[in-house]
Amino acid sequence: MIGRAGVELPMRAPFRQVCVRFIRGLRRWTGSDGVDPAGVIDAPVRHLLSAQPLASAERRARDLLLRMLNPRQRREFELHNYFSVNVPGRGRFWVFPWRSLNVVDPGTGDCYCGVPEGRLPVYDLMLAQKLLLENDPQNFFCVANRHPSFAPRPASTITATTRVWCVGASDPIGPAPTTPMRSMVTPGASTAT
Amino acid sequence: MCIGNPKEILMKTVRVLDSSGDRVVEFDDTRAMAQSRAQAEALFNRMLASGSTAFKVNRGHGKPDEKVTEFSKLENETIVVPRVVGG
Repeated sequence: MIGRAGVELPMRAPFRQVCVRFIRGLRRWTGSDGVDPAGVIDAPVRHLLSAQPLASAERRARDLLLRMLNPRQRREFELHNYFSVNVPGRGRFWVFPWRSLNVVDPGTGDCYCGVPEGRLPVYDLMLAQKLLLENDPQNFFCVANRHPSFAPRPASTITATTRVWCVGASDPIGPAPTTPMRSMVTPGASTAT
Repeated sequence: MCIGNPKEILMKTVRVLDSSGDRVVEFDDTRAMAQSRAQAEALFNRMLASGSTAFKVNRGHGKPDEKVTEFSKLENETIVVPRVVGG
């Protein structure tokens, strides 16, 4: 009698052997099987197979960022994973852990994207933006791209009095901006009254 | 009289943000660290020439961070941010 197992077994065995051979080859390729990794250190796929270098860079960058934040910013960051900076002459801006359009003017809703060259960890990116915004804002705003039309929700569902970011009374950032985001105001909302 | 650890007081650190998190060069004004100091100065000048910006941080006594453009004015810790471009 030819059962189901009887049909599948002959197919499974070679497949399994192929998998084992593939994994052994992969280990040899990435240097994680006792092989000297020097020969494969520059292999383009190495970082995909062993995420360790990137993770350690992010951890290192996060430690540095936490050390550089002032107590208020550190509290905000630990609670919300973003923080606010006071930009001389421009007011408060929020810095989010994103790679683009992560500097937000909460008053207008405008988003700015200015990033250091190179593939920096995201927390290094945030640190660079904090230092630039607080100490050299002209340099940042000269090169940063501005997106005035950023809207986290469809404009049709939002009124002029809608608070953009839900910030509670106990939030260390303080009350949400009284001025609504420009992009959040529906076309007829300002003339409705 | 407690004057603290002199090495701790004099040691300066330059951190250049890069893909590994940051590259650190430590030096002081002693003769023994002349090589490290020269390396740090070369790195600092090269980075600034390529459009990077340097900031004095952790300055102590409540002093705010400050942009710096001269190697001789570095204090205990400096962060060098690579050239910023529009994203």
